[in-house]
Amino acid sequence: MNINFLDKFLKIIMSPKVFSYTLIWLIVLVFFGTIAQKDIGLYASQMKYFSSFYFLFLGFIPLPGGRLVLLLMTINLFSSMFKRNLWQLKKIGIVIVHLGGLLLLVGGGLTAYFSSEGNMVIAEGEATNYVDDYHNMELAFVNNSLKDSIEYTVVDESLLYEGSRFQIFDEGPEIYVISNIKNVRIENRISPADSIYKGLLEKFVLLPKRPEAENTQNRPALIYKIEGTSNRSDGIYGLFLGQGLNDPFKIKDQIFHSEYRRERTYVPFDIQLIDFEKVMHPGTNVAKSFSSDVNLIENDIPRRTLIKMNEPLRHKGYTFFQASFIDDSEIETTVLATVKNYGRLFPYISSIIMSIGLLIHLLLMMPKMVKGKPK
Amino acid sequence: MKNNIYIWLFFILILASCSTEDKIKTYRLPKKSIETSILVEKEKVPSEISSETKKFTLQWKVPSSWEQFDGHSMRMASFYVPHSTGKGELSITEFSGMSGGIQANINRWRGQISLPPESEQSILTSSNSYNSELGNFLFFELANETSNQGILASIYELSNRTIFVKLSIEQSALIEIKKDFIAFSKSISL
Repeated sequence: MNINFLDKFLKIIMSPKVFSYTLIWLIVLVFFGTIAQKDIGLYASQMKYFSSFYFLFLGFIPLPGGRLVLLLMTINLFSSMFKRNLWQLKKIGIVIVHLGGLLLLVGGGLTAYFSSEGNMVIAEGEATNYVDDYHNMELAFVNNSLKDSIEYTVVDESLLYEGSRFQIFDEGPEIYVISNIKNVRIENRISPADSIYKGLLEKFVLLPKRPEAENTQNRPALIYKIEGTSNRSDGIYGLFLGQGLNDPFKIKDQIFHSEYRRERTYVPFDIQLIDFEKVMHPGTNVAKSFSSDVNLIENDIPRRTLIKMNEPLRHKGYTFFQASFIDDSEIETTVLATVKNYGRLFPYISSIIMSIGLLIHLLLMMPKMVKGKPK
Repeated sequence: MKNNIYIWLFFILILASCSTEDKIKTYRLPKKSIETSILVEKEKVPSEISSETKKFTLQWKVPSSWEQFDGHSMRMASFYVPHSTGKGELSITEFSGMSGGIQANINRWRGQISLPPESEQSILTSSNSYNSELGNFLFFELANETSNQGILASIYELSNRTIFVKLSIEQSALIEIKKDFIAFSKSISL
């Protein structure tokens, strides 16, 4: 590559104009992203405009998405720190403001890539140590034939696209993803299934239906093929979210079944629901308030605490909010919205840093301002 | 000029270091043991049950009011389940393979309480799925208000056998017992 070209390119990247343009483009994205929520739902809009590197305007014009714009902004801000004329005592306030802004963007990046949020669902008397993601799915192969433990081999959603092929074990059978359905409808087969179809698919077919705007209302499904088990387990299997029955198959003389479930994040402690209490508005079925009396069990030591609306439990970087409840059976079940945000403190810290920077800059500029311009 | 190239290389390095997370992960979790559970001891299993079944033992947590009794020889265990107006009878049975399938068994039980048979889809739709130590199971509630007969049932389809937990009880007592029954079903483990 021509060194001059690279140098010119870097000068453009470092230009304050880039920061201005990216800022304007972010405003445009926020405007269109907010309007789009009405038609495609909050999650889809967030994915399309803010969590993407690019999106297709009118279906064919690629335009920069939120992540690309913020990445450009970060590079621009970072590279501007290397300008020699910036590192002067009289510009120390500006340097601090830049550092604060950079920290804000780094925090945003950490939140985007490493944070997790989901639901922890606990029935009364039971304990749970994992959180189900709101949107991401995973394919889990469960080996229940071990004596003292259950072995899970979990495949990330990014591998579960149509046509994907992968092996879950070394020298193990190959998994071929035939179909990944966003929202499924399940129908009886009208004619006998071919012998290649196993379990659920022997009697039912999984068909796509129009996805709902609100992603959590969709029921995703997966159809995949196992090849190379060296036994009669080779075949096509179907799974959907919330499936009650497991279709077992053999791999290397061990019995497995698969689950298509919300992506699980395990927390390093258990939460046991002792009692769930809800107060209804008089004469209605509308909940006025609800709370969960829980035991936080860590290293076998329980700590009793109450999670109420607007009074979450915070522990080891996780925050558990009282979000909802399930009351469709005799056993009451609480739903705790759980968030782990590594970048949670960044906005506060960077705001403080930027305020200090502005204050210093103001103080340094004060004599000039007081002196005023010569008449 | 050189400085600029270093900045550029620095960013390439940062970007290249992203997304190295494993796409396929394997982990093991211990099978939780229930301290207060009752182990079905081998000698308590009736001799008529095949040798394969003898090896297969289950544990469960029984509500204090339930009373175990020696039921039919094909059962793994039997309990009387008292309620405010009488008592129901709960049985735990185990069969190899699919044992006729869910539709056939549920329709057989529906017949026992004078209810007409249903399609498989309708049966599956009316069921609820729960997790237990043994794996997922399907819970069914069958009720005939006219004859005041009811059945609560949990079916566990394991890799090579099927476990049935069935409680025959008065229809009016279903609400009273349902919570205990589901908790009992969830407590069943190997």
